[in-house]
Amino acid sequence: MPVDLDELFTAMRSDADAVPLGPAATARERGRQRNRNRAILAAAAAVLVLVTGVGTVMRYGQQEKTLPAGPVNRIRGLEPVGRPIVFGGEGSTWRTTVSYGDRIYGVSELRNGENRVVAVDAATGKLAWAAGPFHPFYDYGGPIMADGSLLVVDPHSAGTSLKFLKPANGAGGLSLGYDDSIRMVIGDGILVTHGTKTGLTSAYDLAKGTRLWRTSDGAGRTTTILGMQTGAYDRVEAYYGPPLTISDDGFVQIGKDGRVRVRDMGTGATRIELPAGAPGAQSPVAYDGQLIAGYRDEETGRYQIKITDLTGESGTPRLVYEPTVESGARTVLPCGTGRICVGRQEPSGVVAVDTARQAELWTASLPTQFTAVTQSRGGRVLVGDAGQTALHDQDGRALIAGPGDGRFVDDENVLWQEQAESGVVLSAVSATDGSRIRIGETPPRGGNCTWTDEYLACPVSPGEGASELRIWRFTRGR
Amino acid sequence: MDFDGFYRDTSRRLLRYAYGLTGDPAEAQDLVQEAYARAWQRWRRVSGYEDPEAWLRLVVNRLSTDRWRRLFVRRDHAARERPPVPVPPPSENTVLLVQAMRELPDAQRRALALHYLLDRSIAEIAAETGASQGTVKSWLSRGRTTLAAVITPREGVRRAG
Repeated sequence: MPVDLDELFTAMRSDADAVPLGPAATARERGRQRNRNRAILAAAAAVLVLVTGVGTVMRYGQQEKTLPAGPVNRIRGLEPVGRPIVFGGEGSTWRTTVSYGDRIYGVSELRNGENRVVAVDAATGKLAWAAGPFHPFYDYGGPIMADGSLLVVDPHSAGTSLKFLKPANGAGGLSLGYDDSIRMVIGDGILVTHGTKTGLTSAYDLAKGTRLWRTSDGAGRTTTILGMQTGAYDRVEAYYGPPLTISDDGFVQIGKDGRVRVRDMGTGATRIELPAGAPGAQSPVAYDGQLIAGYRDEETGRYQIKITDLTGESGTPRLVYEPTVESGARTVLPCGTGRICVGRQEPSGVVAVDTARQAELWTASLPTQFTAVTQSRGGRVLVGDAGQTALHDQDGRALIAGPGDGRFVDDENVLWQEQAESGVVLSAVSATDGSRIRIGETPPRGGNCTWTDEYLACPVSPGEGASELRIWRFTRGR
Repeated sequence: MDFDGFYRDTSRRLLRYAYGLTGDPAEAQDLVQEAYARAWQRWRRVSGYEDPEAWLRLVVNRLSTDRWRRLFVRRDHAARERPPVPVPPPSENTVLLVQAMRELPDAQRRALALHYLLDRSIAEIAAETGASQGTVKSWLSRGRTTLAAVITPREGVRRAG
């Protein structure tokens, strides 16, 4: 039966027209704040904090062990740290937060439109330093948490720059030009950038701020670069931020012609080169010595997921999964030893696949449009979207499912945030049995919360015009 | 031209266009707000353009670039920002079309969105994109072919309509 595109687009049009639209005042306010800020600032910035890997040469096939069920170091409550932090005077608002180790980094938007990056000692709740003023961060999505590096995206009048700040004191470090064609990998204190327009690949020592090497393969020949990850797969969280992945062991360069190179971060030397490593790869992920990607079969048109072994010189994409139903499968994430989790849309759900046996292990479903695996730890996975989350164990059993946004705090605990009338209810969910303990409630948010395995920090609005950064310590016990 | 009036007259169309590019209502809302914020910043200049609405679409084009590949990431971040409120699901036809549109190169997706969602003619799309009418025809043709191939019912797949 021929496809009636008119009918489909009419449906899309109808659905689009039903989407609520804010008033002009909202856009004006967003623009007004930015104009005000630009009038004040000579330079402007957004902040990304990046996780770096351990950077040694890895042995593959050692990825996550499936965790046994057992005694749980349960999070059972929240203990306030210090007093709520107010910064910048009347009318200032805490926005995005990130954390690493014992530091919380928050963005404070001042009444005059300036943004400051403020570092707080999580153990005491005392200010460590404040940097800025910066441009409003929503141009580049605000802070992203990672290990050891603080990256600033600075859209000044002469062109946008990437700037690295020192987390210890907020001082400036490496600064580079930036545009939308730049792809980045960070690991072991090294930044690798590739400009798809220029064809230049460059690496920098983040501590010294110096360039380590540079090479060119010609403009447009490389489609992307990806950090090779091992262990628990970490996605860098970004909104408008630059495409960025983490490297635990080198990086993968994928050519427009399907050529794949595995290169050393520190020297740029090519370790492995596969002429037909990934022709036509979609949404590739580099993990544990493999390249995992979606493909469209040329003959059947079917969507397939293939894995290319990047540890030898003869790798070509090997089929590991072809949905039995054309399901709109698109998002793929490593989710345990020899497993990938495939998010699909029709019907909405997640399929766990054994890549060695090419077999479906289990399927999780949620009543949402774009169900996807959001996180995986030790074979347990969180799936969800649009305010719904489900936690599945390694055998696919749903331990808990329902409204809210669940994220791992550590291997044993999931922080569950659920919107309530007066704010957000916080619960700790056991990753082993799904049991849930209510640990607190915050007033409405000014931005996102951030947490480590010890601390939680949230920007909150406890009343009209008020804004505080609150920090808690997780209390634990059996 | 008054900004609020311009917003009132054009924002619904821009939202439809952004929805066509992203397939995501929340993302489309955000792109539209961002585009108008940028327009407001330069309103004196933008309002003097022959077609300020086309300028807004250019902004949306740029902001939406790579979004299809990075949708996963965006959702991750958005979910952390605040627990989102569940929204009613789109129709089955829209879900099918959103999936299929993901397969298209940016230029074809934009051309189809302009043609089908904003009723733009081939000549108008050519003028807006700076491409020849032949190129636009090619984009539309190839886009339709790809959509048909992706959507064509196969065993066990829900049919459109």
